[in-house]
Amino acid sequence: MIAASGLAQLERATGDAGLAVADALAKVEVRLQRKARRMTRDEDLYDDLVQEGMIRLWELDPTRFDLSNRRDTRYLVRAAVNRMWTVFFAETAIALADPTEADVRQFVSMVA
Amino acid sequence: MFRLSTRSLIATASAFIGLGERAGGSEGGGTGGLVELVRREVGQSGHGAWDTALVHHLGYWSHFDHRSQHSSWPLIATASATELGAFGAERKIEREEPEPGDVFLLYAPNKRQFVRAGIIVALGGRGKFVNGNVFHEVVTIEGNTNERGHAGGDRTLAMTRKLSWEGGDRFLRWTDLDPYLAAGDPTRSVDSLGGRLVVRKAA
Repeated sequence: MIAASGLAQLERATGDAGLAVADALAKVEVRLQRKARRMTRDEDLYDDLVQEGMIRLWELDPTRFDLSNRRDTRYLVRAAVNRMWTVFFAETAIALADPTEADVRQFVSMVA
Repeated sequence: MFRLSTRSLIATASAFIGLGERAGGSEGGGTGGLVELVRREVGQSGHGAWDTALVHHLGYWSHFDHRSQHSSWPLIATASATELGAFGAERKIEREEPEPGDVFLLYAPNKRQFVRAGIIVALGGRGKFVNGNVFHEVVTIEGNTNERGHAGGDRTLAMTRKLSWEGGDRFLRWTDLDPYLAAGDPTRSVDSLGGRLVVRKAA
């Protein structure tokens, strides 16, 4: 059994790089949400896209980056948004295989 | 002269957990003498990251023989993870699978260089990212960090991390530079430097 003081000591002695995702999200989450909203009006797909962006951040491991540096945070956003596009195209592949005029108009407005 | 030993390194590194710029961790009020010392040992003056310099300090003193006044630590004295990576590549001691005692190098894809070094002390599971890259969950001991694993922190901590060879991270198997093992292996190149044996290239 670890005494309370021992637990406090253990907390000061250990860390988890996975927790850095929360710090990165605090910096870029709004930008990811905005991008996802531009990609789709479908609420389910929107949630999936934002989640995929978060997963990409977790994979990249934000401790490799300087979150106070704009170039680094831009890189993280770009990587997350690229993953979101990949998922978006995969999810909407059927519609894009035989696009209507409205599909094309929406796509052009999104990538513009 | 001491044989290369991952146990010695891990034991020494464990004794440094909690130490850093402020002696005793976040509640301490020390002078930061430890950090000044490890920086000085690798010829680094002033400010800058000290995680890689700490790896050298731990390796050097865990392999120091007080009788001969000599350390058998085989890695270069540097504060740069990138320099350490270049040394590891040149000596062919990069390995895809981590083992306790390995020195890890953390890769930053946007900078295309290593940005951090530390020591692997335990292995967890392994898995795959969505992009297919295999990762290893490991416990490390690393300096200049905080409890969320960011660079620039003020302490030495035991850190849980996911590292991936395919993502650019590297594991340096410095024990393969043990000249006593290498001397009997014709595939390795052993040389004499300043009166002691060194391995030029691992197998």
